[in-house]
Amino acid sequence: MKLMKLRMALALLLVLIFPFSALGDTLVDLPIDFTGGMVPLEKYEPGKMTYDDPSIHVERTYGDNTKYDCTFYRVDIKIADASQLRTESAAGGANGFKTRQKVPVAVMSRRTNAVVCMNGDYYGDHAGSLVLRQGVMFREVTETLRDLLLIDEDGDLHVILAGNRDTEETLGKKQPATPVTHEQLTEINGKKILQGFEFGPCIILNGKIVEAHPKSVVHPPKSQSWNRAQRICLCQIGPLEYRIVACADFGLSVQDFAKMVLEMGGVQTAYMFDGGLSAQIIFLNAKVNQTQDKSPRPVSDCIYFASAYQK
Amino acid sequence: MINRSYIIWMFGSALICSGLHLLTSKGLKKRGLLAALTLVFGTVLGAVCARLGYIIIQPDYAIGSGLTETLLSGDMGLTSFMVGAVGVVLGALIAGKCTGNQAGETLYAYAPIGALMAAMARFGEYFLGTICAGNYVDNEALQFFPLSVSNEWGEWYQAVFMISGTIYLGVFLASLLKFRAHRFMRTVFYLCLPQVFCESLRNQSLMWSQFIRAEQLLCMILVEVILIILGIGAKQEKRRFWPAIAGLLWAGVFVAVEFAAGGKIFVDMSPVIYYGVMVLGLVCLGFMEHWLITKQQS
Repeated sequence: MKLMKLRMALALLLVLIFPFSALGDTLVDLPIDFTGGMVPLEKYEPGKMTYDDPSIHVERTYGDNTKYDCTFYRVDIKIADASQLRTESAAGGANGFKTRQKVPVAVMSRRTNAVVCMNGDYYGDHAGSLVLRQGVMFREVTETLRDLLLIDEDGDLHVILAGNRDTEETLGKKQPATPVTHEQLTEINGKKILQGFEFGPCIILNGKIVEAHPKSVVHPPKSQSWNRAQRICLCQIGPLEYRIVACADFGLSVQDFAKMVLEMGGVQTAYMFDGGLSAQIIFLNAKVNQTQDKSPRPVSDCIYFASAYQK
Repeated sequence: MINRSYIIWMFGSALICSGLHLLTSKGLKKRGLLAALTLVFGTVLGAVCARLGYIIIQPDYAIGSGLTETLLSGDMGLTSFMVGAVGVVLGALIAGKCTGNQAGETLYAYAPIGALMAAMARFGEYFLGTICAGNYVDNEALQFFPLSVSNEWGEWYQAVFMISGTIYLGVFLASLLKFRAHRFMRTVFYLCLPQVFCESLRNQSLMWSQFIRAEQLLCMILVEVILIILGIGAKQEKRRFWPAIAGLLWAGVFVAVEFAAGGKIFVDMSPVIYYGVMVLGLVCLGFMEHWLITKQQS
């Protein structure tokens, strides 16, 4: 009996001293704040196309699409928890989204230990737009002629189309613009909205190509949607499953880009972000898409997928 | 969050400048009181105008973040340097008026002090972190102070404020020792001229209409106005129109260069060429100003 008590005390002591080795490797809950993710297990090397750990699976491909005459870059991501889909500003930290600072996306990727990172909506370059990041409302102003992307606490993408159109009933129909309410921006179906972006346009919704609002704003304002340009979008293909698609120089029109993304299959929602020289996909801190600029354009913010695995 | 280091630096600088103001205001009435009042009014009006300037220049941004919150924020980065400087000069003028001095005499005495305060304020931007810095520095050989400043993540950014501050120190010395005629105007001219270039290097500026660097534009306008005053405001036989016209033409070229440097229009050229053209133009404007002054004095 005495020996058994001694063994139990010894075991308890070991657990107390070495808790992690006793329990093994862990998945951690990433806080909804402006800290980064866990350090990825592997580093980038040329030709590396996948990344895996118990919290995130990433697979990237690229190639030429002869139908649309363009080179595309595609990254599929599956995460274990919605908190792994995060955002970061160029200045970093809790007040970073109050500044207009700009850095290349790779700098933000390194800072946050991102596995995959893409440029955001370049909020610093257009003052009258929504900035809701990591659950904090930094700027509650919206332009009614831009599509809004909202991401809820479960990691699901929701879109409020330009003109605040009812997405189910009047998709593609002409309607007068109505202001977006505070309630629409903070909660959807009882779920808290953690991220809000204002760039667009939304090109795919409920698995169908979206017809743009007749007066909707396409970025940059002077560039027409039918012009060929480098485009980039974030897609949701299932619960906690996402895809980033970009096209290279010379790029595609918005319409052709939407068709190409839809034809890749499985896309439920696709929302475009700042393209051109801003379009940057970073995989394990290395830029893996091509843009015409030799050095990447500094931008205001990024969206990233982090590992939640602590070895 | 209030940045105490920055506030202490600015107060310390203002006190030093006040001491020097006593020396530069020899011959003015009640110069002790003048220096003290300039310190008080300059500090208050400088701070108020700097914050109001920030809000006026980018109202969407300020209102979007909450107007009251922006107005009362302890964040020293939410300020307009140029409008703050106008507030300080206004403070000096009110102090001059209160002590019975003429505006011209007050500004003549205050010009070098203003330049020194501007230099100290630029150096003080070190305490504001990388928000007043330039672009990200990738080259490890250039990652050291005073060339670059680092943030809490060990990222390095060009210390543009050090360039501004160093040039302003030179302007302070020139204003104190060289400028005799039009001292205040010349000091303002040479403070604004290099800032046109330095604003272009800054990572973030106060923006008008999303793509115009407001303080850069204000500097350009001031430079042009001073060229007009010096060229056209002189006696009839010494009037010269061409520096002002050249300044306007240069402003047009400058807009294209600035947009190219900022990536707004894509031109496949090295940034060294953009910035080289910009600096060359500004140096030419400096020569024009000097030539106008020389002509007036001859």
